[in-house]
Amino acid sequence: MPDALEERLAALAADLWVPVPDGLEGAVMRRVATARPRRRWRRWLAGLVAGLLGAGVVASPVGAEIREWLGLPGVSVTTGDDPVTETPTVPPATGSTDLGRAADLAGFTPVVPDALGAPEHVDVSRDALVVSLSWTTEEGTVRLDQFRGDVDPLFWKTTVEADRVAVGLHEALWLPTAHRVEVVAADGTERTLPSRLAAPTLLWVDDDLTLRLEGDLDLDEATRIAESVG
Amino acid sequence: MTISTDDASDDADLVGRVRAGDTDAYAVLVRRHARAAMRTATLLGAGSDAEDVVQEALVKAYRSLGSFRADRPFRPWLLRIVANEARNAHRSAVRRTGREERQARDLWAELLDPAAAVVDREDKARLLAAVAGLPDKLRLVVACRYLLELDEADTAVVLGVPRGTVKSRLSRGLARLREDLAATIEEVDHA
Repeated sequence: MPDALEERLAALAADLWVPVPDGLEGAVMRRVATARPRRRWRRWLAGLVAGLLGAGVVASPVGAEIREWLGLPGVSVTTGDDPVTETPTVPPATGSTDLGRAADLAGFTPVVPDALGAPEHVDVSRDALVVSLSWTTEEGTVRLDQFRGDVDPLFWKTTVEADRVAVGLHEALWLPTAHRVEVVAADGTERTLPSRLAAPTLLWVDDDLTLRLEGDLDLDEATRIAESVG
Repeated sequence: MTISTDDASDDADLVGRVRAGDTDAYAVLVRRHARAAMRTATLLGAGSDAEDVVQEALVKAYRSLGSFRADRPFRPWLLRIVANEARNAHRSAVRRTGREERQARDLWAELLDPAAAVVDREDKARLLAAVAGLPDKLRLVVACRYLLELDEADTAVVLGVPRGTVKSRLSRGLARLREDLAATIEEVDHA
């Protein structure tokens, strides 16, 4: 049952006036006249399957159809079945490893976005491949996973939507909706963490690191954080 | 103006025809959804760039039709592309001066049809200003849900956030509007 404010907003909607410009349809149709809709993902599919066979990776989310391969090292993105409607919980890192110790264990220096400041928690995965940082913000937990990009896919993501965006000058992938994620061990055979529901995630590459920022963020905020990596 | 709900199967037929190479079928889709697209762009941050944003989004949508899932409704999918374009346009204009910020607010005020006899014009202008003044996240869900007349599920699709987030931001947005409106009324009373 709508209350008075909701009724006033509905009445307001009826009085808004946004004209459709006369030339819009013509301009769009002139621009699309030259090109058929692209079906580039079919070629990516072929390329990715070949790549997976070559790398000897056998683990694959069951029933998933591969949709996009961005060339993000260590990450595989596949289409899911239906949009997820539950709200995901972002797991915080739990360790109190300091950043220097994490760097020693993982063999690379983890990056810290200025926009978030010093992390509250730092974890290094048991196989020492992934460093995870987490912060508590107004939007809840924000988590940043990072790993050297020369590994086989570790993160298997199943999503209904993935948008190509830019972080600085680098191409990035934005998964705006909740999606399933599995983390696979480096040999590709064993899941190291149970499948879980992930919040919106931004994936990008900074030098030889693949970064994965997860939290209840919109694209603007995620990009702002990503671009603040010094 | 009300955004009418189109027969989803009609859109699906048209999408099928476009994919089969019938470019003219896309003109029908453009005509059918142009109003909603213009409103979405305007209300979600494109401001005076709304026309460019919508044109760009309609061209992108055409190019992406190959990956559109035909069993899903077309309009929320299209509006999502519009919303992304609008946000990109807004972001590139993010270092706006205070004067430009005020112009953006004025633009919202102009959304109230200046030519038409609007009942309770002042009251509506105040409500519109209050919506325009909400923090980004709250304003986007309130605009989608009430001013674009989308349901919660479509709002979630268009903004790319989980349904639960739409619910919680809506209730925070409405609460904030109530506070802000109560404050303006008090100011008026004390003036």
